[in-house]
Amino acid sequence: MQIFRFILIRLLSMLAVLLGAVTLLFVVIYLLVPGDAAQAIQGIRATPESLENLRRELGLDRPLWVQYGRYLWRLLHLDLGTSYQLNRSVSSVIGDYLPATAYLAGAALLLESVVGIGWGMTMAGRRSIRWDTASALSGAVLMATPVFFLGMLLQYIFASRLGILPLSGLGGYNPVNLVLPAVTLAAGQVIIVGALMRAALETEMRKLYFLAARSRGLTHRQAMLRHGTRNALGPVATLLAVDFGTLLGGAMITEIVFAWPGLGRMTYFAAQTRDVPLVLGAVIVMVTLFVVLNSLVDILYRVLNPRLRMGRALDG
Amino acid sequence: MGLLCMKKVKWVPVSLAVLLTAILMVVAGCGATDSSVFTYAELSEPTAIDPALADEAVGVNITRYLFDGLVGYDSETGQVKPAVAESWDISDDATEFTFHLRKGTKFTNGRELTAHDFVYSWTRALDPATMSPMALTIMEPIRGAVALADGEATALEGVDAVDDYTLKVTLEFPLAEFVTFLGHPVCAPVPQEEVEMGATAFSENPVGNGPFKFKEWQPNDHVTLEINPDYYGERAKVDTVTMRIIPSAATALAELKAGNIDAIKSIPPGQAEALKDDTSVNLFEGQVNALGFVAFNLDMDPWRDNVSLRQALIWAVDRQTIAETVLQGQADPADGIVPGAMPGHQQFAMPYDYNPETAAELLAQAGYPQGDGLPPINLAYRMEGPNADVAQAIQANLAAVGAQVELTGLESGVFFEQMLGGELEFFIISWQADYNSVDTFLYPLFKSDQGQNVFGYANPEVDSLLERARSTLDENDRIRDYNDAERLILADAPLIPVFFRQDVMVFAPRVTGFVHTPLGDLALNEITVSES
Amino acid sequence: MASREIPPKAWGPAPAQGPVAGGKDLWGRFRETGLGPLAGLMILAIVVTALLVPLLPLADPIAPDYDQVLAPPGSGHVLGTDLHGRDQLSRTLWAARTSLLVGLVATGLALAAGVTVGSAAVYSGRFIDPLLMRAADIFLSFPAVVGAVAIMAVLGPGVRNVFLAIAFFGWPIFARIFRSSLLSTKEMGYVKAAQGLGAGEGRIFFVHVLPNSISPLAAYSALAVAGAILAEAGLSFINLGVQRPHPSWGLMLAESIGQFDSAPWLAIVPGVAVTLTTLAFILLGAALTRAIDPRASRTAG
Repeated sequence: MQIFRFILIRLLSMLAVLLGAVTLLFVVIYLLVPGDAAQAIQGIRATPESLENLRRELGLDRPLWVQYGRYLWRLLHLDLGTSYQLNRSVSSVIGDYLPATAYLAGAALLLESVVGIGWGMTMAGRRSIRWDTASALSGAVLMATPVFFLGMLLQYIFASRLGILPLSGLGGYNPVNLVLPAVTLAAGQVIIVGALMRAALETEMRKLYFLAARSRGLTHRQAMLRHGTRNALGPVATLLAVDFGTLLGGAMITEIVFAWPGLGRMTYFAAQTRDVPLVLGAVIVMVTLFVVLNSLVDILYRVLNPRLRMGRALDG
Repeated sequence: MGLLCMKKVKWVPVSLAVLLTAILMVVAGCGATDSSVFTYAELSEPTAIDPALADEAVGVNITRYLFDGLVGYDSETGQVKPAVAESWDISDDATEFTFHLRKGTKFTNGRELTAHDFVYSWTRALDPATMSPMALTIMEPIRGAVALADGEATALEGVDAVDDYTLKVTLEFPLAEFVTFLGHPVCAPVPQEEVEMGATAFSENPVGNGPFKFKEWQPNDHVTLEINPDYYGERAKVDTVTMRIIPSAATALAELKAGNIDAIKSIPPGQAEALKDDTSVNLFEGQVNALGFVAFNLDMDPWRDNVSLRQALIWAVDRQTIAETVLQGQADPADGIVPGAMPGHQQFAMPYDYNPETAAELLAQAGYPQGDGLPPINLAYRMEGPNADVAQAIQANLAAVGAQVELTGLESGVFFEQMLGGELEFFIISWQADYNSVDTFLYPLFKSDQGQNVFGYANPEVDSLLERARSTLDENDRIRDYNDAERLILADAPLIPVFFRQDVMVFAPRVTGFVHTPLGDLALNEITVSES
Repeated sequence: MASREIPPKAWGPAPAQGPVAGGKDLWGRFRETGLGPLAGLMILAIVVTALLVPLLPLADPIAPDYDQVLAPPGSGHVLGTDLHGRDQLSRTLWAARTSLLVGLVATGLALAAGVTVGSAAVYSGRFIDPLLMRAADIFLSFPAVVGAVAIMAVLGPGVRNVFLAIAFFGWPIFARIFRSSLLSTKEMGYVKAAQGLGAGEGRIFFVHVLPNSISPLAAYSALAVAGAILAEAGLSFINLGVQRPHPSWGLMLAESIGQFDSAPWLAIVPGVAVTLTTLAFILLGAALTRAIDPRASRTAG
């Protein structure tokens, strides 16, 4: 029963966070956006009368709390409103862009886990300060390189100079087009996955069963592959799941550099044209994906590891 | 921990397999270029592919491939030429226009196009529910257009389908050049049955009557068009046209050089010289009807009633350097308001040159010797395109004569909002021809009662010249009036004309047959792509 | 990356186990890999340069010179000039000031807010604590760059708003770290002893609890500065940060993409500058993590 109580509380707190995020966004955007949405929609050709009409149509003449109430009510019905600029429902616009973002995020995650876990396994148990230093330094360089700089360099080298990879665009979901943006996106995160994997493995290596396995005659390598890795992947999987949530929203600059038709870049353009419903809708979708993924991981972790302290997984 | 980890452990082989597959596909995926496909790049996404809704260059351009109006423009001269209308008659007082439509032209859904489609399409465009940004600007002269747009009428009084192939248009006031206005895509026909189908927005799956038909639109990535086999006019030389949306000119250029696209419509700053010498690409430069200028808000101090101050700043701006160095030849220095490619352009309309000394004298005359006492000026610009570079050059020019300038880069939405709200005191903006007549640079911008008169400029003499010009049938007389008005406006100095934009396009060597249109469109009819 | 939080604990090489790390003092662990002192030296060099920039004999970083457009590195201009004929060395060094300023001020704001909220959470009792922590969750649920872009869309571009946007989404991690650190410090023997001696709550807080709780924040602060520098560069790169004609590394990169073929130095110089500066702070953060909490990575997860 304990576990159901935990799940219930976790879900309630997830809903509270979501409601809080929506409220925060709504208030910040509606209260602080300078000027007038109606003017932004109609641009240079607007007349005072057409503006007045449009304001009435959009409900912009109502007090903020009425607009907020309406927005929440529609949100409950999964209606995110209508984009000012595109004149289409926000959810259908987001539906157009989400697949490209999920596709890129998935590829980056795959890369991140393969390379990161491999790195962690290579480094685990090595006591050499020199190795530590080299790996820390190279990891830090990857983390420190801004995505737009790394992206530009990769584009220049692999697309412009060598001509072996496409430079930009989705290319009709051709996997070749995925390589450079996914590498760019994954580069900085690899070290974090690697370090976590290594730490988790080293923790396992000190456990009794590991030593027992060694004493049964397995080599260190065999023991690590057969036993250590399996157990160490738990925390790494948690980090990766959380990371996927971040990637779904956090690829904006990479998408801009690679002209990738994803959600982040779309949100940037929408922010430029003051398309408030679209920005609001897109950010809400990203936040929801992030929070829901987080909560699921948290619950799953707790279900599978009953001894864990509550809230622990989130701190990772 | 067991269960979770059992699952996760299989990750490694699975991911390796996927990665391997991906690599194999990379190797297999290198295709050859197809000679029937023409791919070009645009910097931004069309806001809509719908004649009634397109209001920016990209949307207008692509709409022209998909929809043919009553008339079109000759792609070389920009002169009006017949399209769906074979011929037309104009009444002597220039208020009644009768169009005779070609028989047997079809929408791509197979239905024949008639005069009734124009009545429907124009009424739809003007209907306030459609929220067309351009309809009233272009159709305002039609009798009843304003009433319809204001919601006071439900039909367009001045348009009548006499029979299936005859359309009669009556104007509110004489307008000799009205036929020119009709070349704008907002006047193109749309099939009612498709618009009202309602399943998806018409703009997402447009059905037209132009040389190409719509195939697909992956938002912010590409739009694909196919040849329209039923088109009444001359068939284009390529079967498929792909427009890729690449917001960075630098990325687009790199894509062109890598052989992935055939044409780009603008180049990154600083690249013109290098591209001229580059034998692996063909650079094309052509004049286009667009003026880049800095506007004074005449309702604000210090500009109000201080013509010497405004003139001083005009003398201070080095238009030559901006056009040649900052814009690297992607522009000509402005010598007036009306660009050189426009029929009726007068040379050297500008009574000003670049001369910091004259500027300094005038500045002193205006009451601000060496800029003393002049408050810092806020120069606003839109962040798109080369505006930022132009702004920095103007800032330096004005600083050289003692006028301190601060720069504010704004997103388009905010920029227009603040500009129309009269909040900007000094701003860079460009104006591109909506129709092929001098009128498009003078009447909407400088007539005192026009919504797009962003200067707050009012000169009764200019107003009456512009009105008289519109109703004058004789072309020479009409142009003389426009020219007089232009000189009067320049003397009043409500703006600093800076440059006439040039179109700089770059083509891959396999592309031939490019024709440049003065409206800045890429004309597709003669484009040929050879095997590479 | 600008787009991610840099987690304070999951970061960094696992310290060698056993006597190697455990036997050394704080300074010993800090300099163990050599990267800590290296980071310190790099930061020192960057800060000193940034402070001295106005005194150095550099060309004007802002005024254009259209006779010197796109000069290659070397003669007259060590790092060449840009499209407006401005000296790249001068612009790169002036940009360092902005970058450091944003990094330090934004982190300072986030730190101050985080410490305040963290203390409030611990001292205001059962009801407020979970509320404040859920509030932190709300702010943490926004993808970093997207949140900043939404804020910048509201506030408008400019350096001041970059501080605010970064701090707006940056405080919750400080609050969380500080809260848990406070909770454990409060239970320490010397705090209990002070209470037993009858010291006032306020005195105990400022003299005993606060100074001892704040050290875990040091490592994360260094990482946060790195994150803020990347965020400023990223926002400037997409036109939302530092405004023209003022120099910023991100903006310089954005302005030079078009010339990458013909004038690669215009992009490489600011790109390397931002990478090295960020690197210095990341290495500092890693070394501090190692020094302060030798078991840090063992508890990660």
